[in-house]
Amino acid sequence: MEIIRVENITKIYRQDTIEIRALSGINLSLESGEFAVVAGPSGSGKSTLLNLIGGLDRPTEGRILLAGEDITRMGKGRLSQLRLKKMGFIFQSYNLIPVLTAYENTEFILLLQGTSYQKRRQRVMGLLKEVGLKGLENRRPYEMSGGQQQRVAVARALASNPDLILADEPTANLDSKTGLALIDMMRSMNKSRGVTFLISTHDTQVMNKARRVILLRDGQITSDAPVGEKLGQDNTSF
Amino acid sequence: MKTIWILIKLAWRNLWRNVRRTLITMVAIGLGLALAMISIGLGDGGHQQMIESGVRMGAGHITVQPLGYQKNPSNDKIILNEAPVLKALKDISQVREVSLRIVGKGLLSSAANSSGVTFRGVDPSEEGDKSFLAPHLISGEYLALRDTRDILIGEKLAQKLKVSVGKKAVLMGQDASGEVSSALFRVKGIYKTGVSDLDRYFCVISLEGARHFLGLEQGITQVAIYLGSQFEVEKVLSLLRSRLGSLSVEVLPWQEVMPDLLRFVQLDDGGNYLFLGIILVIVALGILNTILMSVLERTREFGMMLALGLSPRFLFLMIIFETTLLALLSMVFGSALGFGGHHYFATVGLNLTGFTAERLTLAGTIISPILYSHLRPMRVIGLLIIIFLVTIVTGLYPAVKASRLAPIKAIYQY
Repeated sequence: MEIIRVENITKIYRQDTIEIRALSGINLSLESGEFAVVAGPSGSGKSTLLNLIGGLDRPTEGRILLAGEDITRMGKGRLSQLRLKKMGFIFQSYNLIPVLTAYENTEFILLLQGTSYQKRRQRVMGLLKEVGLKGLENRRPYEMSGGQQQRVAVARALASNPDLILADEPTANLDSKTGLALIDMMRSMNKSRGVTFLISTHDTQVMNKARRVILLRDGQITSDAPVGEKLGQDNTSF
Repeated sequence: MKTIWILIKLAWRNLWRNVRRTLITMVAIGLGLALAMISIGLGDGGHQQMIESGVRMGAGHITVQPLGYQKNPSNDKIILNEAPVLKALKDISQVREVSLRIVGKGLLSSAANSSGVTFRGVDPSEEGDKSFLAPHLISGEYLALRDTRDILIGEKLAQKLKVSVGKKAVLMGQDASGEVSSALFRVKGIYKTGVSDLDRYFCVISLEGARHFLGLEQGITQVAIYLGSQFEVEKVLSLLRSRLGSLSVEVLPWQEVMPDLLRFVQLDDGGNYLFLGIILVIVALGILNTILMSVLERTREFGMMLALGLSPRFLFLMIIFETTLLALLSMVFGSALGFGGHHYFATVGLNLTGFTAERLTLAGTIISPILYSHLRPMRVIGLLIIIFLVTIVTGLYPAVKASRLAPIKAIYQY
């Protein structure tokens, strides 16, 4: 089943008289349960693409369908609801709420969704155990390492049982070993839960773990192929 | 409801992220509130003292006098039978004292000089009138029951007439029938109140002496009614007006009998409100600074929360909750401080003797240089509501600013 369909997306940023074309004529389709990576050098448009798919920004041209629904025409309120119920986000800089514990950060989305206490507790404890943070539930972000914080972010992204998780350079601030462990964990979640992952990265280690790699350069897709097949010439240049 | 609860919880924790900043703001708002409470308490206390002094020197909290006397006072306007008035007052529990008087105008002359005066005929045994003037006597004595030919005059008047205790003075004027009347009095006492009008143009004789001067067998011109509290005037006034409606008298509150005093109190209140306004602006700026700083430094976090699906409305609410909690904490602190200050000034008083004369005269009244705070519950409630509303209104700008954030900009640009 197709979960994401990106149709002829162009994104132009305007600053005074200067126009920056971040994405140009992007077409993309993502099936449910995929574990795909958007790779490319800095400034290639990876984050822009993820933000557009996540409904955090609007394209200049084209449209994006999430499970058949056009999100480019949705109002702010509906987009907010859509993100809450159908998407999970993992950001580069952990982005946890500093005043909440690991448990409360994971619980946050469920609270916004109005999930009952029993269900919340069961789900949050299960997820934290799954991401290897059992016993650290009451720690606040500043009491955890970068890797642990990013694990909380993964647990939070999974908390609402989303259809799609968008991870923007999730390993960028982690050392290679921790980064790899995180990707392994995300891959395992993808397998066990069937949740779709779309990860942006310029880390070749991460690319090697993906089942599909979409290469971006200068706002255009230069290659889109399952891992194992020959990628475009760009794959080793960043 | 659960979402609201988590927002309140978040707001509470956010408030304590920067403990020092929150405490400083809390102290600033609290001090503002405490200052406002103390200022209102002392202001109202001072006004209360002035009004009490004014009504004691003047015509009571409520005055009953012949119809038209206030507009055109003259010696021929008399209440010939005071019994129905006294009967109407009998069962009113708020009435503390009643003074029957004859008030009139005349010319007081000695061998050396003469001066226009207002005379007041009082019952020498009546404690209310005695307690007002007796403490200010600088020579001689207060009137005795049989002293129908004795007079008390002010120090300035005595100087002008060049008379002292035991000397004679003649009061001349119109009697109740419009004929010229004169009566000889002997100075029994000289007082000094510090109030110019009282010391220069006022004299006190006995009720009988006044009747004799006006050529009356009976009757009075004024019933001065003193209440337990000046805040009961409205209630007693309407009751008395309904009871005395059939008589040819006017029932007036002190505000109408002493409009100058009322205007002074109102003007002073205006000054106090201006001071309160300045305090409120300082409070508002303090809150705005704290909340705005706290919002600006969390822009990225707000962007992330919006990205996760928190609606802008809930983000707005969270900031408002932060402001509300800050306001409530500050109000608890400020109220405790304010009530403490009020309690001190209500019991010990604010001693101004170092700054002013022993007796302070304002708007024709004498007040003690020691001010006592008087804080009415409604004033405190009103002040708390105003501070609370100011806090919330001040928090609106940062809250709106946060709720209008574009998540993408907030996450990547801050």
